[in-house]
Amino acid sequence: MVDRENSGLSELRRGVLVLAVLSRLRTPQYGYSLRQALAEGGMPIEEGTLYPLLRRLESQGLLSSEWNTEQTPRRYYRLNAEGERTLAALTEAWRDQVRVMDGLLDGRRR
Amino acid sequence: MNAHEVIDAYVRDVARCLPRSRREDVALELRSLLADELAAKTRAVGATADPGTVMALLRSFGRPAEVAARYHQRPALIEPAYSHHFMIWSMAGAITASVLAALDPTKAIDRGEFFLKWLGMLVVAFALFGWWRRHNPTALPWKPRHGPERMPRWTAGLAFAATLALPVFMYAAPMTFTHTASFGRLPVAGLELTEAFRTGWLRATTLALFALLALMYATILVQGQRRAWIGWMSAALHGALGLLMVAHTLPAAGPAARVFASAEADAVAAPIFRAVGALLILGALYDVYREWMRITPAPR
Repeated sequence: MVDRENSGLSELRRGVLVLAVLSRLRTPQYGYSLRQALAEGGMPIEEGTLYPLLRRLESQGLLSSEWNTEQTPRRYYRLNAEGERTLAALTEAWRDQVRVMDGLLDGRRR
Repeated sequence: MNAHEVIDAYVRDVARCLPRSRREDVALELRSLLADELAAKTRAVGATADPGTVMALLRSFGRPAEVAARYHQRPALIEPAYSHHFMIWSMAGAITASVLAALDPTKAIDRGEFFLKWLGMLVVAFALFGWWRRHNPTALPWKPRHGPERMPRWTAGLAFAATLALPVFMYAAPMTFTHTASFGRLPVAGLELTEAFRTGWLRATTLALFALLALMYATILVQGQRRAWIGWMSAALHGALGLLMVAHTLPAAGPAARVFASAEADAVAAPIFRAVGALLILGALYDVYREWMRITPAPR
């Protein structure tokens, strides 16, 4: 039962992963700092999932990145214009989904 | 190996699985990320980085090939969606190899070699098909097909007529058949049957089964569909006829298996009987597969 709940929760979180990541990249972040920011916001993500996801979002044209070599060399990611547009669209879609799901769940209770 | 050497080894193994153009870039970033993770872990427990801590971190990260797949998904040689089809075709090849090898009196067919060649061809064919599908995702859209119960009356009628004209007529009276089919141009003297064969059990049984096969097609013609029991009957008839065809070439079947009076005609006919037998047995196995896979989505 617990396994099933965990598996269901993982599925739910996987669906909103991209939105969560985009929401934290209005300011530049490197991999580990982003992971920390997400964990502090209540969305812990495994490192092996998050770092490749950043590269995928960049290759999809939603993020820009640059190396900062002033101290420890790190790659910083941030939203570009296309990423901003996508974040806005996904945020709207998410809020619609929340309304829809609330309606469904409330209907079940009745 | 110290902690950083372990990280370098891991990063190398990940990068090796990536396209050459992305290796350096991903390796550099991954190394930096792992160093950050390691530093955070050691800070949390107030210890220094040791290989054991690094190995625990890397285990949670995943095996290098799996991590590389998250960075760059390579297409599968055999698409997961088609692995079932691949298995079915592989098994069909294994069964065909076994039937052909068992019926080959010269033992020239090596079952293992045949099967490995078949598997190789299948892998190439599925890989090419997958590549083509990825480049033409909208080509060859799905189209509805009839189930195994569908056999149009005209097909059943044709099968009935063909069964009477070819196997039954040809088998019952080979001389008359050849004379008629060649408009009297071919010599038929060599096709005279031996007395033992003409009056023996093998010929009588084979003729009876051919007649039953014709009767089966006549039943489909009348009913307008190929019901499940007919499918199983078809499998049984084809299988039995296949074995009988092979028996025509086996000395163990006795004098009844010596078909033609002419030894030369017998020598020519033997491989034909075996080939027809193999085809009939494979056809029977296909019938069994079709009936075993028969799905009736609509309620009966």
